[in-house]
Amino acid sequence: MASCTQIEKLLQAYIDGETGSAERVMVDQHVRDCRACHALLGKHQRVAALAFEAMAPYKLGRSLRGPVMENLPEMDRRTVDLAGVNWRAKHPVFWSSQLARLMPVAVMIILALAVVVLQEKWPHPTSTAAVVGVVSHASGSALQYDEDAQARGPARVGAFVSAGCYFETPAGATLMASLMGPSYMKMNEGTRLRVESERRVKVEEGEAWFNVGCDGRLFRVATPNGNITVFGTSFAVKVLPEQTIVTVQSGQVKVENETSVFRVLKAGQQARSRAGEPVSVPVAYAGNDLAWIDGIHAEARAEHLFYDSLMPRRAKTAELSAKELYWVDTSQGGRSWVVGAVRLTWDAESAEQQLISGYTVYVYDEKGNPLQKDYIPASVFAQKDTTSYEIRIKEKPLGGVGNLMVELAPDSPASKLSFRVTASGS
Amino acid sequence: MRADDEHLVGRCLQGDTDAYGLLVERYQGAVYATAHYYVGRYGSAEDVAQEALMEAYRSLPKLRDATRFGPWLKEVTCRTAANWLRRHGRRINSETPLPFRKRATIEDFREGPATRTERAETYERVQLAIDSLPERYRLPVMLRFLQELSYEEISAFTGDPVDEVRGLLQRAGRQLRELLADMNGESEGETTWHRVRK
Repeated sequence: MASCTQIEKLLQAYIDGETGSAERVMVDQHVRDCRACHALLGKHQRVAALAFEAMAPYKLGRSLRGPVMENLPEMDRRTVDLAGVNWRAKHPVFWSSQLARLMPVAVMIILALAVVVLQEKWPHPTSTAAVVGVVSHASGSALQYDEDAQARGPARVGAFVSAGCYFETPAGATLMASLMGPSYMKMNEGTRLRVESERRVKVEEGEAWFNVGCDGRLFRVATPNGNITVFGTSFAVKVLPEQTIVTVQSGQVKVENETSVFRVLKAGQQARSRAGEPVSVPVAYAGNDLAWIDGIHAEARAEHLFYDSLMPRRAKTAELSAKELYWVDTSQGGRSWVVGAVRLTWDAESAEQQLISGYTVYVYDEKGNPLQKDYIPASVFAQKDTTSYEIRIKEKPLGGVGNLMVELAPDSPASKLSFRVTASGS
Repeated sequence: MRADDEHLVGRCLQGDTDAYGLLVERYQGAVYATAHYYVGRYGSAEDVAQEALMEAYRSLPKLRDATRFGPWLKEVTCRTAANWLRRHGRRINSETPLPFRKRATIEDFREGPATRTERAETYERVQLAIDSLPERYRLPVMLRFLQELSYEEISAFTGDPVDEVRGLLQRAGRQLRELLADMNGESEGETTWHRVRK
């Protein structure tokens, strides 16, 4: 027989007629035998009846179908997020919580402002400038610093070289860096130089060696006493207070200064350039001044860094030579005549369409001996009615030797202008 | 029954208003009881129930799971009632909330003022007892005692399983029994004795 507790738990369902038939029989049996449960059931029934009776007048007296169907609105077929509507209904928004909701936005704005202010106030790190290479060897107290000399610190192997940074090797210090190209640069002790870009270095004092990769572009080294322009060679530059000594190991190097005379040096030759004087005649050199170069080697980890992370950033296809070579036939019509000048003519239309930089013009004889150097400033190309430029050959006017070679090197490799080069009489 | 709900909801969405009529008939008791639970004391249960049923039709496309039409309708009803209370907040705050406010009928008139007052008092006691129940018992109790819905109908509307509805009502019934035992000539005998012993 079921216990009184069990029966008590079934009373409501029993009254509501929601028990199964087995439960109903069980309750029936129990209340017949148990007086306490019988009384309890009676009480429960009376209370339920009371509740039903009290509620009865409020029971829905008529069907709502009619009124609802008469006033049925249009179905709203726009899909609106019901959950969101519910949530907003349950969580009314107060002005304080609305303000609190703006907090994340405010925090973001404050952080962004802080970042901007810090960016403005903070000394610009060298890394923001374009990275052009990696320091691959450093010994002694070699220094690396930027334009303002603010981030002055020891040069570390693996540090990035950015355009515009300075290197300095005091006594006993040496340094080697790889520049994109790839080109390699070694600095002897007592040297100061500035890396202006991956293909432009300014040696201010001391001694430096360069091995320039041949990728079709010019590499320029500037010194106080003259400039060196190369095209895939290795050479050393020694800058003394009054002169610059250039020694070539391999390839060809062109040395020039403000005078119109320039020299082309071949492997094993040496030349000197003084301010205000033409570059000296190249002489064969067999001295031992370059022994220091062999003592400096790149460290493997810096080389890895250079080849893995820096070189891939370079454009895949090397630019074609911006330098152009023209042959000028001076024996036109079978009659030899004295060449007094070289005339360059270009197409005015194509000069108008692009921004043309200044051109440096080198004139050689047919054996490759340098004759004359000149510079055509960019302003000449900007003039609309000018489509030609004449270079007078002052050195020694040639008569019927054969051909002249004219080399044109633009300041910017982006300049692509085609010329017609003719010789004219004096 | 719920599968049938799904079918009817599908027909409604296709534009069959008769199908919605069937749903209204099926759920009007539950909706009305819920409305009564919230706004019954202001005499607006029927209006709110109608409003809720119309609102449910209007926003029927937002119903995600057609098998749960009942619980969704409950949500809509609760929201409609809450909106009504907010809308009329100013007016009802200045009025005395009368639990026995209702439309007078011809029976009321026949019974005379004495019986009417007595009846209103009974209703007030029962309503108070229901209001003192734990919150989750109240709505099932209203559905059961006001509209006399079966456990299955209650379950279809609240979304709780039938067994849970049964348990809820059992516990609510026990509490009501204890709260209302001394009414209706129940003051003699065991109950009184229990109280003395306590």
